[in-house]
Amino acid sequence: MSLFAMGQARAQMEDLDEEDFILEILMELIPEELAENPDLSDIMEILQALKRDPVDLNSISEGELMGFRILSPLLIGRILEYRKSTGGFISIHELQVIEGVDLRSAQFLSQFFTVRSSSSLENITYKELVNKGQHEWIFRYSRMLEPQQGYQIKDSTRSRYLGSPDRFLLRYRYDFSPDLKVAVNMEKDAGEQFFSGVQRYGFDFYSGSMHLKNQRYFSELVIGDYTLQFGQGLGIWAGYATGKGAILHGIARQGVGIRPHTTANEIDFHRGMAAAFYAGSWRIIPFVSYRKRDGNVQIGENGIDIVQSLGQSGLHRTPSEVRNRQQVDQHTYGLNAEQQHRLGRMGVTVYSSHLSASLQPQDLMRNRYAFRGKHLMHASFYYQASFRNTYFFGESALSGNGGMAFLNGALLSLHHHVSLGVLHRYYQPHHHSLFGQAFGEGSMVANENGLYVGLHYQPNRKVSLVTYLDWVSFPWAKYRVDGPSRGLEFYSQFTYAWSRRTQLNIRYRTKQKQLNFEAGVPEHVLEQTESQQIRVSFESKLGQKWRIRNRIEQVNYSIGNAPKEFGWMFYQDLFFQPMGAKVTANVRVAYFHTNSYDTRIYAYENDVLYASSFPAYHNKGMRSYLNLRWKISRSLDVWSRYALSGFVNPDNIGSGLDQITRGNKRSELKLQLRFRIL
Amino acid sequence: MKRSMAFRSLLIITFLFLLGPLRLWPQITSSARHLAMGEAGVGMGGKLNDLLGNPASLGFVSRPTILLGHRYFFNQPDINLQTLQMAFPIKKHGLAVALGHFGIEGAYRDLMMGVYYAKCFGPDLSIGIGLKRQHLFIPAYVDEESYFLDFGAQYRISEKLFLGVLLEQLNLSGNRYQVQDYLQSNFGAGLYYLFDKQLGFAFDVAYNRISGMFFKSGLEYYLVPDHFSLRLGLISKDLIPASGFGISRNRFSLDLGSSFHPRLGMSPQIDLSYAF
Repeated sequence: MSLFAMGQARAQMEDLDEEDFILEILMELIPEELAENPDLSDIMEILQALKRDPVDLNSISEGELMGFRILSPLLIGRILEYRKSTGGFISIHELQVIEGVDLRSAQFLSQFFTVRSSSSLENITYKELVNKGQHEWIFRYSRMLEPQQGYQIKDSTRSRYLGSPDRFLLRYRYDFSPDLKVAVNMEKDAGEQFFSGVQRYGFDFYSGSMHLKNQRYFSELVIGDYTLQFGQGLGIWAGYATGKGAILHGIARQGVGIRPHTTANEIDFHRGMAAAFYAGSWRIIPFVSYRKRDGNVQIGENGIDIVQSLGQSGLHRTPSEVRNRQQVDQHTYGLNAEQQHRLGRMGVTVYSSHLSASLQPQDLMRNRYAFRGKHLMHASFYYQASFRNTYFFGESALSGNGGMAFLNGALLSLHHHVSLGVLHRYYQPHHHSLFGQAFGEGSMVANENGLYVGLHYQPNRKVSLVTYLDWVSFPWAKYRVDGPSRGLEFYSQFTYAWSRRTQLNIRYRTKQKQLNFEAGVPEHVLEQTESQQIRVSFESKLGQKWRIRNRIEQVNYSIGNAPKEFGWMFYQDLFFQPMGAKVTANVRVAYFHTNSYDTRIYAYENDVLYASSFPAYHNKGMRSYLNLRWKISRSLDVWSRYALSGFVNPDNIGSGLDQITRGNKRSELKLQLRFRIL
Repeated sequence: MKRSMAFRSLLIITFLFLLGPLRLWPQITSSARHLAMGEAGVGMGGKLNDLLGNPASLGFVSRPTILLGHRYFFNQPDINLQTLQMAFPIKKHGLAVALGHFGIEGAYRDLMMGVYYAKCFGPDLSIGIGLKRQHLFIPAYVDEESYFLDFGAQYRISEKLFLGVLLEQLNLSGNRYQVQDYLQSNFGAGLYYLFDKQLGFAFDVAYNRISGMFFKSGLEYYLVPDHFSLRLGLISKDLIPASGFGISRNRFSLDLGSSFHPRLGMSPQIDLSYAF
């Protein structure tokens, strides 16, 4: 089996822009429902950093290999087995000897890996740290150009945006080889104040981290903001996560342990310190975190502070959002212990998290089993093992109130053309996990049982077929579903690359689930919904400079006996990417027409570096964008992006404070500058 | 050698008759192996448990074989099915007898006796035919005997690819409308592809008047070649998954399979067979 499924067909594309190539594979790995705008910037940063400073194949750990995401677990096992059996790589070209790595894949990987000898911070001086390190500053500005409701309200008794529509992001990165990295992020979102109000020191969000590796007393240390990923995400997982999609091995998460938090995500991270120690085959990661979370704190009965929910957006634009800013303290500490074994690895994660206010969700039926209180303890056990042609993985979790969650799966290479993936999950309704993010339909690791079976057939480099079925049931009520319910998803994607420059994808997906339906009676009735999606996409390289990509997609949706709703979308992309050119560009023109929000269509859009865009197209109209990049010099790059959506006879564009008050268009301008000292 | 095989066959038939009238039940359309592969199997041949998937498969059976099967439906042991099948290959021909009983005690009973014959035309083509007598009894409603014809063909395109077609339950008994409502005529076409000796894939397209057109697919993977296999399957109608396994040792085989209807539950089947 070659390097990665869908991506292998894409590897046919000569000289495809590397960033686009990697981004598109990463997008295929994550499930569509989970994020309208998934944050891929952390994984893109890792890959970009690796390209600048490739990692030694002889010293990289299994966890670090897993951090690349696009390598399947079986391939990682084969690389490590080869290294062990041969005593180490002598040359990077030995990758081609490994089953599953062909010449093209080896050439791609050789950009991220190298073969060398010792540790980089030994006997280093301060002057060398400054002079030999790599510095990078990025400044990004963006703004929606049309006036929005929230900025025009002057009445101080009403909800409104306190700041300007401008959005700023300032990043600083320092890299000294693979062993020392420093990251600082500062962000102001649209509507937040800048050097005034609660943001009187400038930005609304500050984040920073220092990441040390391969030192005498510890293997890894992060001081500042960091994320943790263990097992399959039932206990702790933050950041990029794979799931159901066009790449089969995405169902098996690959936890990397500690990672510095380097994105502008204001929610999913810890703040404090985490370190990794190795003792023989054991890796120990203690971690501690202290953060301030957003929440509307009220005085409850008995005078204790209570909060209904913790803020999940990180936005502090309106007076109420500002009041709720950083009102709840959260202390978390825990330990992960993992053992590497010849067949695989297994580990245990335990943590305890305390809140300064008692979390008391609204007294609704669906919240019957939700977490309530100030203190949560959680423990989980996970494993990964390879045996012959099968990769097993799983995790079992227990929360302090006795709620349990289980996930077990396997990836089997049945034949060098055929792979099978199976995953079963069982999350009890009263399982509580404050930091979990696992395979499933819901955003919480709770109230879900399901069985996933997927098949990948790739008879040659040109043809690939991925099909999966996912049966799911929800034992208790949930948002918009007032009772136990069940659902089903069938997905099939066919990819054909009939030349090294041209590729065709055909995707069909159907999803059934139950939702509340207004049936004219006092209680909600659960009704069956069904959505079907057909997508055909095509891309081709036209000569050395130009590339085209287009897609046509149709969606239909029905609930009960209500009339079926339809939506469709077509887009055409054009890329100008001459080899070695200082200026590159890409443009899209899209037409869309959907009856309702239920027939919205998501489509990935190219954006400036480290930004990702995955908006929903809905209503009726056209959308276009233009991205330009100008590589002024080796140290200086400029990006710009202009995106415009025009709607035909819309009722409203946007809603609430985001509603556009004039015209039928919505446009956004984005500018980004990068300066580097290499 | 021949005389001892014939003597053993006679002994078994005599023993079975001595047991008294057998209460057997079909709608037998699957063996446990086929059931675990989503009831796909029109293109599969060479084993007795392929017989009821396609009578032409009898042409590729190489040994006299006997098979006993038991199944219950939708988590209800009262709704059950028993089968007895015996196959006798004779040079390029194959003969088989099948008995089946399906129903709910006191409420529904379908008793089937069938005789099957298949002939090989060369090494790659087999055509088979089956004549079945079925007695359908539903108290105060239906009590009828009918005769049905099954017809099938299988063709080996290569060492790896087999194709098959099947016409099943063609009613020969004239205006038996009530029976026809319960025992549908089916048409199927299918393929069986062997990736290698460890992995096989079956895919069928099926059609009947009530259900319309639907698809059945299954995978069979030999963890231990010729001895231990795992199976997975899917029926497109209601997207019903199925799974099971098979164990073969010496000349005995044990197959276990089950479908899992999302609302009605599990329907497991176990088959025991012996090849002489």
